[in-house]
Amino acid sequence: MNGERNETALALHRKLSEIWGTPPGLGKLSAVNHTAVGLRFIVTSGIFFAIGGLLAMLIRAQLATSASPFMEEGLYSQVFTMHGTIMMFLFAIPLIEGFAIYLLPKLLGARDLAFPRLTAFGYWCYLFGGLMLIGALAAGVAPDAGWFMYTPLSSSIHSPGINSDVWLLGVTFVEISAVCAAVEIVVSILKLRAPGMSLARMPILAWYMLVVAGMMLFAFPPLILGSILLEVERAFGLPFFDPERGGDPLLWQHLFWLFGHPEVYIIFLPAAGVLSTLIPVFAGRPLIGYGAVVAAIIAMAFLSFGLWVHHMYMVGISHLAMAFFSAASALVAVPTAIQIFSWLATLTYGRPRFNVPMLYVFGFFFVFVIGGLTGVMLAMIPFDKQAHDTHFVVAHLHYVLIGGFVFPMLAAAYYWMPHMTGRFPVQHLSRAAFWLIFVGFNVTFLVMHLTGLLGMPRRVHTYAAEAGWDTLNLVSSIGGFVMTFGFALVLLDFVLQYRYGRAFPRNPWKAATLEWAMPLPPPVYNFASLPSVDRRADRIAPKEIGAHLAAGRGYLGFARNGQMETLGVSITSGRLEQLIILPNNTFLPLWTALGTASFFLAMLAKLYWAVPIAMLLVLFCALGWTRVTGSQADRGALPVGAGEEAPPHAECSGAPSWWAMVFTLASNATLYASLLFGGLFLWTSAPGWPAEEPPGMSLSLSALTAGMIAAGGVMGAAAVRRAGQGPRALLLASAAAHLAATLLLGWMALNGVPDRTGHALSAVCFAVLFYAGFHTALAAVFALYGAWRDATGLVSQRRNLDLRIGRLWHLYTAVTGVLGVAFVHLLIAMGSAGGAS
Amino acid sequence: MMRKPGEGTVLLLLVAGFTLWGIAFVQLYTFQAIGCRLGWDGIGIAGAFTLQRAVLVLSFILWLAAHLALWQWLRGREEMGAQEGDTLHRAAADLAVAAFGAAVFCFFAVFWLSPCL
Amino acid sequence: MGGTLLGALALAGCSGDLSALDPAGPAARDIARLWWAMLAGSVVLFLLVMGLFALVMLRPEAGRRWSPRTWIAGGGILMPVPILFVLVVFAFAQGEQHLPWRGEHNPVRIEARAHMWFWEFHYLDYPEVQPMVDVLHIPANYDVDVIATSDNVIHGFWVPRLGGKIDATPGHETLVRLYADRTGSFGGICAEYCGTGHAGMTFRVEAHTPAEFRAALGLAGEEAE
Repeated sequence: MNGERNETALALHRKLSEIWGTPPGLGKLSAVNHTAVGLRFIVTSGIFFAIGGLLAMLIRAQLATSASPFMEEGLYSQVFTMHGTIMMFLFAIPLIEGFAIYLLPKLLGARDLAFPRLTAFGYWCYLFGGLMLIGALAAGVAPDAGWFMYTPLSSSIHSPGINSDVWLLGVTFVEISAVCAAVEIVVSILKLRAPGMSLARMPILAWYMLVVAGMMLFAFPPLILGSILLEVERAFGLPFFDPERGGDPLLWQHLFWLFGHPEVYIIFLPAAGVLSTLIPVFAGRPLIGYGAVVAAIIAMAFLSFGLWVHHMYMVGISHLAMAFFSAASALVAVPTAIQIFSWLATLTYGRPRFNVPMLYVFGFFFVFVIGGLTGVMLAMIPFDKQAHDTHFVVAHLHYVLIGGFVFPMLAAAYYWMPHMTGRFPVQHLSRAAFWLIFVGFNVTFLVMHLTGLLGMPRRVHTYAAEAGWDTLNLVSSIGGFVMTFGFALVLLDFVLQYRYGRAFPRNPWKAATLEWAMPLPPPVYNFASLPSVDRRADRIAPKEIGAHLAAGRGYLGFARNGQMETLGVSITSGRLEQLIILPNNTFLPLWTALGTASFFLAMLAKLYWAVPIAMLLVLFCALGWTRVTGSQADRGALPVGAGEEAPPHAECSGAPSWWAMVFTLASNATLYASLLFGGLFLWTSAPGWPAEEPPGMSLSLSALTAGMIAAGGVMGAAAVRRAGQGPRALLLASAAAHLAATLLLGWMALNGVPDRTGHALSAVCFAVLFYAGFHTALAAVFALYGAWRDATGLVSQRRNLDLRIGRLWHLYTAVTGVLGVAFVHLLIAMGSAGGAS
Repeated sequence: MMRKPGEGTVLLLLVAGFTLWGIAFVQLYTFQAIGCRLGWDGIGIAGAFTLQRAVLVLSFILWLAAHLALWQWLRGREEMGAQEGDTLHRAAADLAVAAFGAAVFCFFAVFWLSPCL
Repeated sequence: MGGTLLGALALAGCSGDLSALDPAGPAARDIARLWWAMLAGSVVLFLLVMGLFALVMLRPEAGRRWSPRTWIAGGGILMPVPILFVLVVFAFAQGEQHLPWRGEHNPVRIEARAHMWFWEFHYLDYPEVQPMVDVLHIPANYDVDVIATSDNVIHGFWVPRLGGKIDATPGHETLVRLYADRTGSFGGICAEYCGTGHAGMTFRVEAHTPAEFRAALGLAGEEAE
């Protein structure tokens, strides 16, 4: 009996491996599997971390004594700019993405993420964008205006080279991967869970990642917008930030920090999620205060969007306005404290075990608490007046980021490394490595608080001996090198574990979450069959469930038509809802990313004629993604094992791709709102307003344009109701209206706004009209695509997903387009010399 | 295959409190900036009490009322609460209270500090 | 942590031409006091959290005298909120006090124009005085309003011992009040990164008696302020 079961399990393993496996050789580049791509993200971010660390060593060598500078100012500025840029954009965020991509499906009881090809596309964008930045560093033309790229220092007058373009384009390229990952993570957590896993039963880490991915959707767009506007200013002369022409350097700071502060919590929260996962395991009991922690992280996510001005206390904002931000900055300590005390309570009500991951948890407590306390200090406006832009801030941010991110992620590495390699650590070096990092870190950065208070500003390449900062800096440098040795030992430790660790069966830590209910290292398909969850998912018994699933006794314990299948559930209750059929390995993500890279390279090389070609290339590739989706016939409910049935996702209203469009548009709306607020901000704050030569907009033409936009949107949306009964005429009419609207918007932007390089009012109007035109053009593509899908028989009353996704775009375009035209008129009325102001 | 009504509603309830806080934040910050731009702080109403401060204080009080109303409504829902989402409905109500507290904490300075200096 | 830091302080000393901990005016002194108070409070809180961590790791049963609810609500809300509230109110009050209010007498107004990479000081109340580079003369024991601006990139005007820092942003005029309560010479420095000359963009603030101040500006005769 037992032997027979094993044989079935083995046969199932073979069949599933064949379907889900990645081809060898060059075929590896076509991998879309979340385990493979997740590990690529993690390893790549590790390499960037090493490069960033190397730059940090250069900085510490430069500053070791007042007599030691060996880099001249220009090179030094590239080094510190790239250190920050790499650590933020090429290390921290991608590591989080990789970690989530690798772990989430395993934690949630799914076989992959919702959009495997998007995972792969995101990875390529990250890699190519990162290579752009590293290539520039190697070529000596790296960004050099500081990692927050303040204008006008980063604008074309003061940075005429391509250094700033590299930053704006490279980072935006990498951010595409962050937004892709965010959409994917949100949808996967909401829809791709094991049946029975309601929201309230999710493992706590899934809550953290849900909140983080949600934050990414809203935090990245302001920076993406800022980068686009600054690049447009640099490349085409439209002034958004130039104070000589009605722009304002402070707009950049607002957009940057509106991203930049949530970013800190985007980095911290996944690490806190790691702690909320590890601490219960090592306490031997479930987390205490699950509900309180969920509430705390949601509160933290919101509060973190209300702090950005605490980076800008010195720019001359009124005391009351700063006070809002100062209070919010102090208040964010409260949800942090709630989590810390939940962890302490969990430990005290458990039987804590002390080992290497817990050593890093100790490191977290020690370092992060200090970072949090100095954070509250810096939130106080008077104190910040002295500490702002000094090494005190440098010390603080390293306490927060290394304490709140690197230490927990090292704990995570030691904890999940056995999961990734299937080998248990030897742990001879681990403790020594920890203590080197811990001592080295505190030696480096604890004294640096004092260096800052004694007046040493950030980003100086040298200092006078009389300043009295030599001893402190030397101590910091020595500590820095000790810390580097520690990181090198960690790396060695990982290599040794990978090579010489002893193999082990399952669940070495006695954890109670689903990712340990699989053989290790994990098979490509994760689970031979999918579990059903009847309790909170941090209280399961991986051993029993694992055997049950490996034998194929859960859902989908079979192979069907060579299809990659997993299950979708309803968001709140976790009821089985749909059968999700995932696309196979393909080179399309790579091609699309290469197309995207050609866009960014054309911009960088100032080959502007090639830019539209590259955009069409990307559009063409993207349309290619749809070739394998869709079916010619309704299939209805299909058996999914365990005696249950579910329809394929294309026939479900809540299909993952529909939700993906909802969240993409939410993110897009944030970008648009940032643009409109940017316009209003310039009106309230920028010098040189009202404009002398405002754009002239004919009211009747604008009304006609708005009418066209609305008509196209409404017809495109209405086509859904005619799915299966000839929606084509409506779709074609919609496409025509959208095209007409695009032309009208183009005409308004080119003819109505002649002075677009002369004044920010015109530049903003141009940007808003361009945004609307870009969306109507894509809406036409959506309408035509819908008509084509209908013509090829892929649309029916049940299979109307394409049209419903299109409807979202149509409605979004209509609302934002009409709003945009109205906004342009409003801004002109408020901001012109003749108008009311 | 129609979506069940209210799929994911609990997520909206969870973020309701702090969304309100966020809107209040934006409104107060925006009105502060616009008021200074239009010189509302130079228009006295009673002594040192200017139009600028009146607008901000009034907004603040209205927002607090809105927070309390939301909290009441969520508590009502919590008591009706579906079994499944109990933890989350309670968390939503707790978050509404927290958002009220956050509003008091973050905006009480409208009574006091210099709005345009 | 507190011990190490205090030890380091004792070693290095807090004095220095650019030290924020060696105040020479009321604003810097208030802020230094705020810092020392916050440091003391932070040391206590840090020791508390680390002590609790040690307790729950070494003797977990000892922590069970408090219910989980007490741990979370007590440590997470009841402890931090009052502390933060007091701190915030105190910092607001201090911030309000440091604002450049129009006092009983008119402050001396000086425009600080930031260039790449030097400072040019214009004495707005004395149009006949030539602008000076990298030296700012002020009267001691008297309010001075520095109006910072720039026509190139953003710079940061900072005199640590007088507690004044403000960004000099192109297109904007920002205001910071300086007050030296003794005569003397104080270091100033550019705080905001402004390009390759950033590190060298230092200046001096010379605080004088009224007579010396007029002399330093090359103004004739004694004149009541």
